[in-house]
Parts: sequence; structure tokens; C-alpha cells
Amino acid sequence: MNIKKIKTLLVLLFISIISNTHSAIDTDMQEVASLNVNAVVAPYTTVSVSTNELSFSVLGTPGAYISTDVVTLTVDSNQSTWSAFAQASNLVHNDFGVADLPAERLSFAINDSKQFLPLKNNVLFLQGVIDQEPEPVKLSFRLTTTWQDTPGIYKGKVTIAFLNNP
Amino acid sequence: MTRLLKRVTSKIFRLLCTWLVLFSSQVFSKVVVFPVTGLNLTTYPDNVSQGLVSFLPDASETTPVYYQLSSFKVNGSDVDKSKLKLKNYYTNGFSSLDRYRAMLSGKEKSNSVVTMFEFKPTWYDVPGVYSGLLTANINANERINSYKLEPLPEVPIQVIVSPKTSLSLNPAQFSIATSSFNTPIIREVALSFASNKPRWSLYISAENLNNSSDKQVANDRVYVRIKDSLNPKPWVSLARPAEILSGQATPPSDIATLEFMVNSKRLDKAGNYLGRIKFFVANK
Repeated sequence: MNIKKIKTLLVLLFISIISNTHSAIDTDMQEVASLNVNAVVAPYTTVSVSTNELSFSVLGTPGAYISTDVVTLTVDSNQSTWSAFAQASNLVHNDFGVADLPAERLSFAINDSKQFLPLKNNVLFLQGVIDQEPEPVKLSFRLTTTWQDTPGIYKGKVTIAFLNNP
Repeated sequence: MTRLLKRVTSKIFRLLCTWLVLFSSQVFSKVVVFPVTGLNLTTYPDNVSQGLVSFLPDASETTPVYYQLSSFKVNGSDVDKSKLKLKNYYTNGFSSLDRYRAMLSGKEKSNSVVTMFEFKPTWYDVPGVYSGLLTANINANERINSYKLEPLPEVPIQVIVSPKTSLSLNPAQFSIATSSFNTPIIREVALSFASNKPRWSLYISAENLNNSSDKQVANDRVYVRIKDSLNPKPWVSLARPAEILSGQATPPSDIATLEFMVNSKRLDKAGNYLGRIKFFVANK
């Protein structure tokens, strides 16, 4: 029992010496200079899309056709908030003089949503903040045709725009 | 008979005069030093420290008086006595006290002689209390026994050399873009260091860097290393004070160039993050 007590005391004494030594070193430190630092985190934004081409195989009667390609969009940014917008142009027939397919006939849905949004003007479809891992979104596109549309190949452009709000 | 009487009277008179001169010397001949505490100086490396001491002889002090440093020590070790210098009417500029120097010529006729003492420590002189004693060329016993004069006072010397360390950084501030280890963006800072400490270690630590909206780049992402173009050293995180250099007493000299890098994280918000990198010196 006495030996145990002595051992405990010795351990305590050792700890005390160690802690005192440590504090002595700390107090012995004298600040002699300092350096002002400005670390600059540069703003960045990366937008990637899985494909840059969409096609619709409109082979049956007029109606709604969903594109064969699903566009996967990934946005990564260190701005405080950011927004992604989509806009489409009219689809122009290959032959001159044939009426365009208006842009609003194109619509899109995000991920597995069944709700398609018309691609009229800039449509806000995605917003993000920092401190958030980028998650890819899947965009499905739909084209609605009518009996008045002339058969043929129509071409157009879907523009995805990105806005930083630093 | 009258002649004999005259001769005897004359001899007695001369003897009486001599006795009177000796007697008066024995009683009055002395030197007083002001301040009575001696010379006290406080200084630091490369700084000239000067102090005045007055030697006031009385009118009967007609012998030249010389003083030298009989001892000069710091922390029990001898110090080069020539480091303490003096200048007065009898010296040709400042003269070292490792040999006897005239303080009084014996012709002052009660006029004091002011002596200026000077001590200029180098960076290699250890900090501490330098103690010495100025003693005269004729020791007390000799003056008393042979010349029947008052002993000359000893003059205590105390010079306090303060510890001093200086570090200058070039540049004193920098702006650095965050980057990765694969393609680090590096800022260099040159260190000019001086210390009179016999052994020292230089430590460096960083604060967390903060932006205006309380976002933070933690100090564990601030890295440093000593520049070595041929053999680049590993980066050291400044999350904790890191010892980067150590050495002995040195005058101001370029001791190293440091390289800094701040590691980026993809989720760091764009902007400016401000903070300080601190340098510490510890005795070994």
C-alpha cells in the first residue's frame, strides 16, 4: 500500500516537473517579429456538361418527344452563391424558308422530375452555395411537335448560363 | 659660537619644515572619487555607453595617480579588459584600461579631473552584469607605509549588457494565392537576424487567417520551409510553433530565406484572408 502511494507520488512529481519545464519553455519565448499575410483564394467556377449535342428522333405522329441523350451538368464554384440559367433558340429548318420551331416548344426536366419547364427566356433552374460538394444534375429535354411542322431536320442551340454572386 | 648656533638652528628649522610637510601629507593627502558607487553603465550590443567619474585630489596630493582594471568578469569568466576605455585630460583620446592610465598628474591643486568611461559591447559579448574594479598603481599599504599617504580608493565598475535579439523580414508582409502541393505558389521572405544570446532557437507560428465574413483558412494550412533550391526541404505546417533555425550569438546577418505556401481547399470561399505569422526566439 505504501509502495503504491510512493509510486503515485513519484508519478505526480514527474508530471509536475514535466509540466513546469514545458511552461518554462513557453514563457521563455520572446516574439521578435511578425509578418502580415494576405492569403488570396481566387474565385473559380467550373461548369461541365456530359455532352454538347442533343437529338430528338421524331418518327411518329406529332406530340412530345424526349431526347435520347440526358445531359449531366456539374457546377462547382467557390463564390458565395451562384445560379445556373437555361435558354434555347428557335430550331431552324435545314431548308431556307421553312418556319422555325419556336424555342418554347423545347422544355426540360431536372433529374427524375416529370415536370418539364419551357425553355423560353433565361430559366433559373439551379442555385448553389459554397461549402457544398458539387452534385451533378441530369437534364432531360423534350420537344413538342405539331401537325403544322414541316418534316425535316431542325437545328438550334440550348445555352446554359452561369451567374456568380460573389 | 654664534655661527654654530645659527647652523644648528637652521638644521632644526629645516627638519621641522620637513616634518611638518610629511605630517600634513599624512593627514590630508587623499583622493575622493565621485560618484562613490563608481561607474554604472547599461548598454546593449553595438551601443556605446558612456559615464563620467570625477577624481578630486586634495591640495597636498602631488604624486601622479594611475588606475587600471584589475578585474573584469561576467558570469565568473574574465572579460577582455581593453573593452573598457577612458578619456580624460591626460589621455590621447579613448584608451583601454588593460594598462595603467593617468587619472591625476599631481598638479591639480584640489581641482577635480573628470574622466569619461566608455563600453561598447559587441554581439558576441554575453548579456549579463560585468563587474570590475579600478585600482591604483600604488597599493594602499605602500602609500601608507612608504609615503604616509591616505590609500587611494578603488573604483567599482558595473556594466549591464542587456540581452538583445533583432529580426528583420524582407518583405514585412506579403500576399499569396492559395495553391496545392503539386503546383505550389510560393512567397519568399529573407531573414536578417542578430542576437547576443549564446544559444538561441528561432520559432515560427501562424494565426488562423480570416476573411471579412468570418470564414477561415486554418493555420495548419500555412506551410513554411527554408529555401534550398538544390535540395528542397519538406513543408512544415505552422499549426504549432515550429523551430526553423538555431545558432549562437551573431551580429546582424542574413541567416536564411523562408518559403511560404498556403494550401487551398476546394470549398474555400473566394476572397482575402488576413492574419499574422509570428517569429519567436527562445534561449537554449
